[in-house]
Amino acid sequence: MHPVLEVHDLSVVFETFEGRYSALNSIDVTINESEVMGLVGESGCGKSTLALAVMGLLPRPHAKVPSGSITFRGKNLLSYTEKEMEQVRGTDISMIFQEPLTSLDPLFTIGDQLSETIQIKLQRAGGNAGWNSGKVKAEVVNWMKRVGLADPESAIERYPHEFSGGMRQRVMIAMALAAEPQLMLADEPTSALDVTTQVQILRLVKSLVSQVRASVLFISHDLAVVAQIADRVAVMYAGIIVEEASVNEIFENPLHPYTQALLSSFPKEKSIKKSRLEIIRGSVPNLTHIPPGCPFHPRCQLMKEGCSMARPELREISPGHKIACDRP
Amino acid sequence: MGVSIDRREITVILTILRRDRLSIFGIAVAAAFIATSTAVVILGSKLVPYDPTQVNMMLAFQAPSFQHLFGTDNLGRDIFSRCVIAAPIDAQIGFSIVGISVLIGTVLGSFSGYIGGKVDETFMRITDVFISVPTLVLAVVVAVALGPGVEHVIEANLVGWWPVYARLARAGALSLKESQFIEAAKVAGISRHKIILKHVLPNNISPILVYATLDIGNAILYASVLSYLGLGAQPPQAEWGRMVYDGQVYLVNAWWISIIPGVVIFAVALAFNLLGDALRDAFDPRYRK
Amino acid sequence: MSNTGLLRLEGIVTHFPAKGAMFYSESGALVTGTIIHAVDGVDLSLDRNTTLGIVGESGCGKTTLAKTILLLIKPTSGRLYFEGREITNLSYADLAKIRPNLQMIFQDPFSSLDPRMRAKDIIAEPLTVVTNDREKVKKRVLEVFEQVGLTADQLNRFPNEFSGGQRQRISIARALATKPKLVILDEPTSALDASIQAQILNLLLDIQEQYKVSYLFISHNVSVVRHMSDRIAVMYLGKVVEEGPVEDLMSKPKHPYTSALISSIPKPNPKARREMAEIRGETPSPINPPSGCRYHTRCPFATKLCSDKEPQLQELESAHLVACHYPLNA
Repeated sequence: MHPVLEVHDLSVVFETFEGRYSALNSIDVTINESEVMGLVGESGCGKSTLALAVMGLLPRPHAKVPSGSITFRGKNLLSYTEKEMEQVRGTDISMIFQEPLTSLDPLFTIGDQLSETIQIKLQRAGGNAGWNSGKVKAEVVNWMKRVGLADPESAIERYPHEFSGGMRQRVMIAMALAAEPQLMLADEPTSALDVTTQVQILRLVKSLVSQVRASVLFISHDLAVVAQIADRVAVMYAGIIVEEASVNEIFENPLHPYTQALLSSFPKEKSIKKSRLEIIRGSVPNLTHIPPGCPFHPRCQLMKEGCSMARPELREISPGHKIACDRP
Repeated sequence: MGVSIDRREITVILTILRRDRLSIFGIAVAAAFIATSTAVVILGSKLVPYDPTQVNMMLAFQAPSFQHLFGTDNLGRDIFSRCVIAAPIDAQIGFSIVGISVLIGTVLGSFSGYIGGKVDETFMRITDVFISVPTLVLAVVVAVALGPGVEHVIEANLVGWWPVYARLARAGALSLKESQFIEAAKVAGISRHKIILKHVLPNNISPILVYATLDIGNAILYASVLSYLGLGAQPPQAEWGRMVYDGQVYLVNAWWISIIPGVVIFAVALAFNLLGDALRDAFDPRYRK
Repeated sequence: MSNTGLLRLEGIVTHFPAKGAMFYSESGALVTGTIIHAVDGVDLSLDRNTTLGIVGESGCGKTTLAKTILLLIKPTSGRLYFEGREITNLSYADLAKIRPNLQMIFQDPFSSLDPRMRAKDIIAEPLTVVTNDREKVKKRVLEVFEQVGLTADQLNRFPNEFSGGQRQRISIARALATKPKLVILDEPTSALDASIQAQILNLLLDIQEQYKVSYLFISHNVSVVRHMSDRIAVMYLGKVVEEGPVEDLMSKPKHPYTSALISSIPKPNPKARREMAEIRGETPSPINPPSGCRYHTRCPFATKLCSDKEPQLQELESAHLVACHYPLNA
């Protein structure tokens, strides 16, 4: 398998009024070609920070990267200048967000916005195409059809606020995939949608992504959503990756205490109605005061002495299955 | 909007204020102004090197020097002493205008915004009338009608000043009305006027206070203009605006008589503006991240 | 329907004028109309010491229904009964007497608490309507504060000093202070992390056991509602399309929408991917609801009858009602 993105030893630190906090702590993760990698974790675990780091959108000067590399197509993205990153964004690496309203410009029709991306793609592939060229327009309409918008010809003349949440997400997906990127980052793309719309969008993403042969980093707080779309899953907690495995392994054979606890805190189909759910006592730590050693140890059932001393390394326990725990 | 003030907040705000050189200037001058005014009220002319009303034609038209920091005027009076003595007048005017406007405007605006309906519509029309007239013109007209004197300057400006705060408070109340914690209070059975007093007013205050700080500078400026026009404090009482007017005729030969009080007015007004600006930035959540 | 029930809704309709509201149809065309039919004829009843779950997606009217029951919004028509007595047209002052028995827990832990009030005052507020005795209030505040798992030293703090989960606990304490008979919960855990959600749900169950309070549990998250409820009502575009005992409804749903909704829930099981049914299209606008059965535009089983005639809620099995011309699993 050929890796598309290799994150190695990445740390990100934020300086704020409340203090200095570590958003990412020495992260290692690899995404292969045509692979959907699910990144799961609760608020503050650092999943969005990782996406921002890859896109070069970390809020400077507050954010600092004391260590690590993000290798994409053989080059370290962290060493790119802003201009170089602008070339990459939207074409080689694209991103979709939870709330499409904020990433679609309200002043332009969706046709205009989509055509920008397509123009760049066509230019790169050789040849020149201005907006009036029928070629660009045809591509735009084609993509509107592919993402399932009814009546694409008139849809492209409309403005973002004229569409419902689900339809705006489709437009976002079109914009993200039209340039046929190698990697698409999706940050909670279905969290604001109804569950019935979510099914549609997840199916759409999965099918389009394999047509375009892109890899996806799919970020979600919802393990169940990730189960529907990912090939591999990485679970994050307080800035580190605690477990990484194929999607089947994670759900059938979770090894890290946090992953196990997370899975069992969901109300189950077969559970006795009104029974008490298994809980993880305590709450997610404030990132300015991450517990020493393993950040999960204060809440862990299996906690022993050594857990507060040294942070466990992410090690491969069985082929393709890694965990960061000294006490499985 | 509606950031709660507690110890942590105050530290954050002070940190932001400390950073910006302009805001330090603002705080310094504003603080000096308030301190001086208070001192004058308490200590009177004992505070100043020279008797501000003492006429001495021998000392007239002296340029600024070590003995007379701001020089002397056409009657030989020390301008520095006169400026200092005059400070509390503008302080009184500035703080009164803004203070009373905040009080009246916030209460009326909050009630109107929260209650809504016809009451609110009527209230809006009333404030519309006041806001549509340029404040300065209104103030001048009222002051002329009332006659000279410091109290009349305050009253004249109040007329045009309070509606702005009423509008601000109304806007705040409109958005607060929809908050979940207000709904929670309704669900708890709290009466309407209690909701306004306990929940709406306290949460409405911070944006208003920030604006008010900025505004004190404007109030002082307006008061000075009225005094310049002869409508404020009367001679022989020293007052900055009046001093600017009196010194005008000597502009060519003894510029300091008119210009220096003018600079003082400008500096104080600017200080409050900068302070208000910095406070507004300090409260802005985007700026702080 | 028993008359000894705690809460009863008869034909509740809540409409809003559609000034400035914009909805768009599937093709993106602007739909204009004059009325938003948020809640369009709902009958429900709730007994003591039970939980009725209400599920539905955006635009179904569940939040408007909650606000109507609490009379934060006045129903356009219909009647509301609490403890056998009609409360639909009570004045603000008369309602205040009932409030101690009818409380609510809101969705957003960050905006449902007054940022300028201390925790102890927030919880004390509903008590002030009931009694003037300061000592009593103080005692009760401490009691309920500890019951929700917080400690006395936190009483003096402001909301921004608590985490999201802790704020919801304060919200719960506030709702319980007056020992209400009915609490309406509008998405109480949707804004919380999964691990915290479990804690809060357990707390709610403990409290119900202790106080024998009834819950009206509103959520778009079907698995959570299922876990907490005795009965479930499914809403679509302002109407209840199915209502029944939770086990029956979840295992053998009778309305096609209920069935689609249940199968849309993502399961934490990658092997169950194929089972997710996909409903075509999107929810129509509440300004211009479809004719006949409102679900007919998306229903795979719809016939002409469905677009002509609106089905009424009928009791098919004991206490299991459905509004459909061709119910499933009948």
